[in-house]
Amino acid sequence: MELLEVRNLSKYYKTFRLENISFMLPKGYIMGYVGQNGAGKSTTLNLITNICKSSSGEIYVDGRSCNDDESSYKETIGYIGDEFYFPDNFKVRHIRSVLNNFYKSFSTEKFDELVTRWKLDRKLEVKDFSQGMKVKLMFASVLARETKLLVLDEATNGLDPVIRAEVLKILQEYIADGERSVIFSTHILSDLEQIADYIFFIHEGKMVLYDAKDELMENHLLVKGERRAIFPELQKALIGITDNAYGFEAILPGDRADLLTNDFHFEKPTIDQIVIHYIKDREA
Amino acid sequence: MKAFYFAKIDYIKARTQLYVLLVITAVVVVIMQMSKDMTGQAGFMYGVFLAIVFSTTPFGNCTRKDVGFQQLLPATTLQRVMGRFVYGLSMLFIGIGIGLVAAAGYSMLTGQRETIPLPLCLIIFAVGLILITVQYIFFYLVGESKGAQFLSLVRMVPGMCFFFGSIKLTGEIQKDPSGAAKIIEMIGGNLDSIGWGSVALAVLVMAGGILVCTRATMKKDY
Repeated sequence: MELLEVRNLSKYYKTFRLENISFMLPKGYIMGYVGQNGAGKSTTLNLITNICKSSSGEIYVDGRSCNDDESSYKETIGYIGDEFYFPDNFKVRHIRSVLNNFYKSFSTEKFDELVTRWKLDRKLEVKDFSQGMKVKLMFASVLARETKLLVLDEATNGLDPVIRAEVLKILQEYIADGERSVIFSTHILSDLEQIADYIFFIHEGKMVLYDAKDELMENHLLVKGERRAIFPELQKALIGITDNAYGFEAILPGDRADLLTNDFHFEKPTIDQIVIHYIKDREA
Repeated sequence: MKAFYFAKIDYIKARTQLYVLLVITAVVVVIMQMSKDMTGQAGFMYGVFLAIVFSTTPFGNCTRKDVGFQQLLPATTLQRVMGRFVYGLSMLFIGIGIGLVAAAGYSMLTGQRETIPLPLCLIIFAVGLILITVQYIFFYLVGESKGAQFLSLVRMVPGMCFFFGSIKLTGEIQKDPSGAAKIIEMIGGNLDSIGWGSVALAVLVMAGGILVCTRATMKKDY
């Protein structure tokens, strides 16, 4: 059963075009949404949260479209961005009060429990919070209500490894009941390797790769060897050939593994390596 | 109901301003008492002037991320815009309240009893509401968060025009009461109707303003 369905989503700006993005995220899974700065990650996530309006295409969260009922659509989504979105001069009690007014499913008890557990200062205005405290407050505000989809836009950027690990644990707990999902954009691809089930890779507003993470890693090989050993057919199949002190390094789709001879070494690539070589290939 | 919750967000953000308003009320009473030129009516107008100026505060302290936060809340664009107008309208009532308190304070301190006629109150209220609506339309068309850049330039203009315009008008009437008498004669006993009519007109302008602002923001990205 799909929780998030994106169909032919496009957004046109004067200097950037997000074109025909389509994907589905089943219930109980985490999708890593990756790409370079300016690739269209935040644009896609902002379209899902309806902060931006699409030029064309459709988005459904748990079968609901924002065009049908904006309020109930937004009730189902929790959003955490790299930028702290609560007004600077708010205190924890103001946020609690506002969210309680707006969200039917908001639990003040749960919110208070999370605020206490994470030792968030109730007396300070939120502008005086550390980055880690700000992220935790955003999580508290989202986890204190019944959401179906969590949208994270580089939410772990700038966090120390301990808090990052905590966030990843929260995400795994969030999807544990098999009814909720997470879409998660980040530059820290090692985080995705730990928790993502699907990877969507976007470059210059267009989809490059979209697959289950394990399939993606199984279906690609990291090939190394001497540059002069590359023959024309292999050259065509290799993705993002990069020279280094020992020769070259590139990614090869698994279905072309028959092209490899004893002149080359190969190994299972990381998500990071796959993404970097695809980007190099696109830019070449 | 959600419109009131949006107005509440504006109040929380601008809560320091409310404390400032209380201080200003006291200052106005003292200035009125010291000044020979000012009257209770001027104090009343000053209250409305403050309301017109302070009603734009949510645009002044609004950043792109603040607007984004409000966009995330489960509500419609109309509810968001109505919330802002509820804030503006309530500021106008607060301003009138301050004006009445200032006028009463003036009467107590000077011993001069001065009544402010109801039709005048209604007309001033209507002018205040129309000016607030015009300001809001301007800020919504410019862009809520971008409004802050223009705010320092335009914020004082409508309120000042209102305040000094009404002071000037009062002065002119005092200098040459015959002109005003002629107008009053023309109006006859319809002063109350004009007062209520102007309020009705202002409410219509505000309703139109809400629709214009909603349309202007409906397709905007944040």
